[in-house]
Amino acid sequence: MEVVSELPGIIFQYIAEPDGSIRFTYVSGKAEDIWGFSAEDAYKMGGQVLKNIHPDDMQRYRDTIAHSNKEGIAISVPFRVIHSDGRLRWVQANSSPNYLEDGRIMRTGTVIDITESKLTQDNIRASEQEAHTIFRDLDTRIQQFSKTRENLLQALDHLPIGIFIKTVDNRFSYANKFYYSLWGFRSLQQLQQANWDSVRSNIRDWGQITETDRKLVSSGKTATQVDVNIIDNAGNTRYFDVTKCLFQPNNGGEHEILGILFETTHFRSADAERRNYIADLSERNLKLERFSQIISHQLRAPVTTVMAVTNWIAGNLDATDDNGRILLEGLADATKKIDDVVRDLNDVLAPVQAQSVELVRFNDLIEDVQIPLHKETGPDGLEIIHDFSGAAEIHTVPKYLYNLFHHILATNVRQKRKGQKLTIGIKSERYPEGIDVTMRDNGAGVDMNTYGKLTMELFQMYHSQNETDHKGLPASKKQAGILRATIDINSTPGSGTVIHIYLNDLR
Amino acid sequence: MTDTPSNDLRLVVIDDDQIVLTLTSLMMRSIDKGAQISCFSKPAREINDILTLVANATQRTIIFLDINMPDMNGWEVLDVIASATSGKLPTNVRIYVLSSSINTADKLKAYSNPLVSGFFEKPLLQEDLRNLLFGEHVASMDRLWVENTERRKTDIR
Repeated sequence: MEVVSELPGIIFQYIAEPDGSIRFTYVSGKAEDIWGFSAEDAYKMGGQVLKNIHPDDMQRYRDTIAHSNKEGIAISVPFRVIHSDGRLRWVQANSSPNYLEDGRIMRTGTVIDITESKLTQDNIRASEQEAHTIFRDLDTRIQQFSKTRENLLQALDHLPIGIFIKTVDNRFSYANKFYYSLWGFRSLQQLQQANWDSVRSNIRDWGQITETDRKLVSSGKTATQVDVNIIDNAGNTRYFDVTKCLFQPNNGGEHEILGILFETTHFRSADAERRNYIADLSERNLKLERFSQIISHQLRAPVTTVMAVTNWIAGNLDATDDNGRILLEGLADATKKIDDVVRDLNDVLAPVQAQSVELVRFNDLIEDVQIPLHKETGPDGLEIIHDFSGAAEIHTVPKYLYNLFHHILATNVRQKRKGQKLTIGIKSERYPEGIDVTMRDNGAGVDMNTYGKLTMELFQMYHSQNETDHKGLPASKKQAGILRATIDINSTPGSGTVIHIYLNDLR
Repeated sequence: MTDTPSNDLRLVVIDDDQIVLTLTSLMMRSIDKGAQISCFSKPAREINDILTLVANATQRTIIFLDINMPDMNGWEVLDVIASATSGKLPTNVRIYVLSSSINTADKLKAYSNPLVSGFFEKPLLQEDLRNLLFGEHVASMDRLWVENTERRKTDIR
């Protein structure tokens, strides 16, 4: 019995009465450990010890015993026991019935604690479930990844750059469409199966490329080659900047080279075009300068000769020769117009530096402008009173501003009343966008019903108000555009003229 | 070369255009019948005569010098005169550039030459010539304008 008490389970025997009550005739020593009652308790309590069976398992236990009793077969039933100390134990009961002559049944069996193995089993089952879930999820993820990879590869195929992964000896594991198309292949497979040695003859910098690949593999440092010269499948010479770095495949195989080609052909073409354009422009500029010289000297020289002869003949013409005078005046007028055109052409073709922006002081400007005006009016015919305290200077193109002031003041001088000194008051004021120069004179004025209230750009002023109307000549348009000046004129016959010149500082 | 003797004034015209020579002479003659007039149309060939006139000028001498001439242009004539006179003209000699050029660079170049007293744009008017001989010379105003422009540029810098 000593040996039996050491067995890792309970050996029991009980007799079941026909009324269902039971009486233990033997319970081994481990009963208290597994079940919560000692053998002595079991002898006293009889069927009461079965109350420790988990309520959820009780009916199944009873049904199994009943079936065993009825059929006379051995049973093996696992169920849970709630130990007296509150612990839950899984046990496995194995027993078989013996029918006594008096109608009672003697059941003999064992109860083994299977808690550990049951938990292990449950854990395994849970692990299996989890593994199943994981594998199912993994499969979904793999499918998703495959789709993503497919999308990624498609995207790479649409990039306007070449991408490849290859070994040093040009075994390609990947190339996008741009790259394999460069060599005339229709797919990556074609590139992979191609005899690369036949392709490389199209690369002028092949030696440099292979040297770079070798250095890259040995040093591991990313390298960039610029202006790699390649003749593509169509025979076009193309240029690329190629960047390469080491690429470690997932399978742990040998190092490969990841390369990216950025095409620079069009940049080079644009650069070449730009150089050609500049050369062409320089050539044209040179010709323009020569043309400017021709305009200034050769073309104007005969014009001035005609003017000089016309002047001379006019000065010596018989006073009674009216027809001759009319013809000469027509000739002088026509020649003057040609001379104006020549002057405009000269302005248009003037070197760019003549248009450079400089600081101009209005005091100096007026001092210069009035010199030729006094020549027209005589020293006592014109007085210019000015106040430039509101705005003393402006950054502008001096020559063009001089021309503008000269034209306007010369127009004023033409409106001078006979026998009266022409007085012109000039004042400058700053306004948010620039400077307003106001000129007010006591001349004869003009009828604004004829001219209208004019607010116009400088070139319009030049030519719509001038007696010599050669409207829209490029020189004045150019000057107007550069000065960004607008002019406002108010004039009344007998009351003089007020002119506002709105100037922008060109700094 | 044509030459008309006079005691008070000598006009020298250097221009390859025969019409300019003729008209300037006519204008001069109508203003001062007694003036001596010397015309040169081929300065490369006649430079020694020009230098002689400059060096031996005993009366008031006005020289009109064209710029654009085929064999020797006005700048080259000035260089030769400057070399011959060590850059200093006799006080009774004045050189004026008479050119059809409307190029500002030519004007500035003329005024930057110490031998040049003025710049006339062609066509030369009788009034210009009269003013030059008897009144205030308008070209001096042009010179003032150029000088002022240059001075102001210097001031601003």
